[in-house]
Amino acid sequence: MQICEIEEPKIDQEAVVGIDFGTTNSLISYVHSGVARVITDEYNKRKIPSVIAITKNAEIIIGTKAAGLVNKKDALVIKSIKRLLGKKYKDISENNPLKQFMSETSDGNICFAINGNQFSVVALVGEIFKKLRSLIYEYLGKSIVNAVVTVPAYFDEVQRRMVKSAADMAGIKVIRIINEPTAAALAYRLDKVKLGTYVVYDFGGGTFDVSVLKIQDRIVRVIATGGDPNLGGDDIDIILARYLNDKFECDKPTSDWIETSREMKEALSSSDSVVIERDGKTITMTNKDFDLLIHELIDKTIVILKDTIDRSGISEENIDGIILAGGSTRIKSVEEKLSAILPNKDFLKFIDPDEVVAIGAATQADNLNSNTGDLLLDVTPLSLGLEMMGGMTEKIIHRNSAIPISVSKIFTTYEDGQTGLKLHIVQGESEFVSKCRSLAQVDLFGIPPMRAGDPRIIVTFTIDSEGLLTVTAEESSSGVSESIEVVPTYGLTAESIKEAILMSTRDVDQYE
Amino acid sequence: MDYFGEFGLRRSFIIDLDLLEESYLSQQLKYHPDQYVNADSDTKQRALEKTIGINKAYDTLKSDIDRAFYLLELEGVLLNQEENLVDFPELLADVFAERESLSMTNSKKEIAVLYEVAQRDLAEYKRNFNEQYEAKNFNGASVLYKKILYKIKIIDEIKMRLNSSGDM
Repeated sequence: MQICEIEEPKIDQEAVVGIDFGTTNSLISYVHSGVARVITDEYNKRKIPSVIAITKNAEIIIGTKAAGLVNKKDALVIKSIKRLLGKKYKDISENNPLKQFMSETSDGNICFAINGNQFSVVALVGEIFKKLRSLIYEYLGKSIVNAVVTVPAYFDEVQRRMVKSAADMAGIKVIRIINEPTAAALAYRLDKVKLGTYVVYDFGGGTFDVSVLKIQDRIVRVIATGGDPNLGGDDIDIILARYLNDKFECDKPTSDWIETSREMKEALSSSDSVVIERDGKTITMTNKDFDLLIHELIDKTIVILKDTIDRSGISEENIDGIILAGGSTRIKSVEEKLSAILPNKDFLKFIDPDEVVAIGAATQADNLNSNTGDLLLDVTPLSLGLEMMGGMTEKIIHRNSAIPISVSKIFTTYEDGQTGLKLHIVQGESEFVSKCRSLAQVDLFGIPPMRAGDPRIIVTFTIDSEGLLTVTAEESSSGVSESIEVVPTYGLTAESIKEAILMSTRDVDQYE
Repeated sequence: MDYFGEFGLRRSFIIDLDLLEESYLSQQLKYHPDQYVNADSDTKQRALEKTIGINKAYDTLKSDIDRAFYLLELEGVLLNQEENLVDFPELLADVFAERESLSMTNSKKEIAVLYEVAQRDLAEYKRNFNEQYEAKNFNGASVLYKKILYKIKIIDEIKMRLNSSGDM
C-alpha cells in the first residue's frame, strides 16, 4: 500500500550531460525521454558566457555575472580563454591587453598572476567547468556528473588533454571527448532528419571546423574533417574594432571597441544597416560595408571547406545539405557564400546554431550511457608521426583515418652497435617536425648491439575508440619493448594540478 | 579468410563499393567497442581489436590502389609501395615526360587538359590491371600497379597546380 509518494533523494544520482565549452559561451544539455533540453543558469540564461572575473579579493566569478560586471576596475575579466589552450607565452601578441597579467613558465607556457595568485590556463578553464558542474547540480539535483565534452575537430592532442584535465579538476567525469561538428550532426540525427551526406560548417567564436559526414540508419559516420583552430567570430570583432577606431579617429586601444563591434555584428545579422554613435559622431555601416571588411576571413573558411570536401572523395552533387553550427553562421554573407559554392543544397539550421553542439553532445552521452546501439564513427583530424633524420616527419597514421586504428612501421639503427633509439612523436600535417605539435619523446633502450640497419624495430601507433593514442616499440630479434600511452606534457606541474584539485574539492564539498 | 571474404565479396579488382560499405557498417554495428561500454575488459579489448581489423580491411578494399596491392600480395607478389622505379625502367620515361609537360606550362587551360588526359590514363590503367589480374598475369598486373601509383601522384600534383595557378 502506498500512502504517499516520496521523492527519491537525488544526491548520489548521476547526471548524464553534454557540455559544449565554447570560446564565447558554454552550454549544457541533457536528454530526457528522447528529447534534448538545455540547462539554464541562475539568470535563466541558456548560453553561459565563458567569462572569468577575478576580483581584488581573489573571488572568482564565472558566467553571466562575470560578463555583466559593470565596474571592470574592481576585477580582471578574462574572455575567450579557450583560445589560449595549447598556446605558448611567445604566441601571445603584445597587443593582447591580458598579456600584462601573464608570465612565462620555465617551459614556455602561460601563467596568469592575478592579485598574488597564480593560475595556469587549464586551471582557469577548470573554474568554468566548476561553474558548469554547480549549475548542473542546481538544475538537476545530481552531484555526480558524467559528461560528453566537445572540442573543435581541429584541436590537437595537447589541446584535447587540456580540456579533459580542466573538466577533471572540476570533478566532472568525462565519458568521451567528441568533435564539435560531429556533435552538430548528432543533434540533427536525434531530430530524425533525412538520412544522407552532409557538410557541417561550424563557425564559432574562436574556431572554425568543417566536417563531411554521412547520417545513416543508426550510424553517424565522419568521412573527412578540416578546420582552423584560430579563426572565429572574435577575429571578426577585432577587424571591426580596428575599423571603428580608425573611423572615429580615436587614440584609445582597439580593445575598447570590441563590445561595440560585437553588438554591431549581431545587429547586422538581422538588419541591413546599423548606426553607431560615439562622442557626437555617427557612422552607418551596411551589410555591404561589413562584407568588404570581413570577406577575406570568410573566404578562408570557404577554402578549408572546399579542401575538406575534396579530401572526403565525395562529389559535390552527392551532398544533400549543409548543417550550420556556431554563432558566426548568423552572418548574412556566410550563407550567401555557401549557397554560391554549393548551390541548391538544404541548409539545416532549425536547431539553434548556438545550441546544436551541446545538444549533440548530450545525445552521444545518452547513447553511451543507455546503450542505445546508435553509433558514432569518427576520424582522426590530424596526422600522427615520428621525427626522422634531419627534422623531417614520417607520418604513421594519416588524417581522416577512421578510428580505432593501429598502424605499424619498421625502423632500424643508423650506427653500428647502436643500443638506443629516441622516438619523438609529433602531430600535424607539415613535413617539418618544427611545424608540428610535439606530443612526447620516448627512449627505447637495450637494443642488442648489431650492425647499422640490422635491428628491426617495429613501432606501432594505436588510437582506441575513445581517441587515446598509445605508441609501442619492439625490437623483433631481442623482444625488447617499450609501451607508453602518450600523455603530452603542457607545463602543468604536479604541484599546480594538486592545488587546482584541492580548490575544486573545496568548492564542491557542499554537494557531497 | 581474406578481406574480401570478411565483407562477403568475391576476390577481384572490380568490387561493388556500395555492398562493401553496407557490409562494413553492419560489422561496425556488431563489433564496435562503443556497443560494449558496460562489458568486461576482455570483451572490450576483443571488440577493439576486431574493429581495428575491420577498419584496416575496409580501408584497404575501398581504395583502388591499396586493393590492387593487396590482390597481388595475396598472390605472393610483394611490391615496393615506395617511389621506386628501379624494377620498372620502361615506366621512367613516361613519368619524366609527364612531369616535364607539367613544369613547362603555366596556363590553367593547358593544365586542365593535362588533368583530363591523366584521369583518362588512370581509368585505362585500372581497366588493364583488372584484365591482367583476371588472366592471372601477375607480372603484367605489377607493372600496371606501379603505373596507377604514379598516375595518382601526378594527378595530385596537377590538382595542386590547378588550385594554385592564377587565371591565365
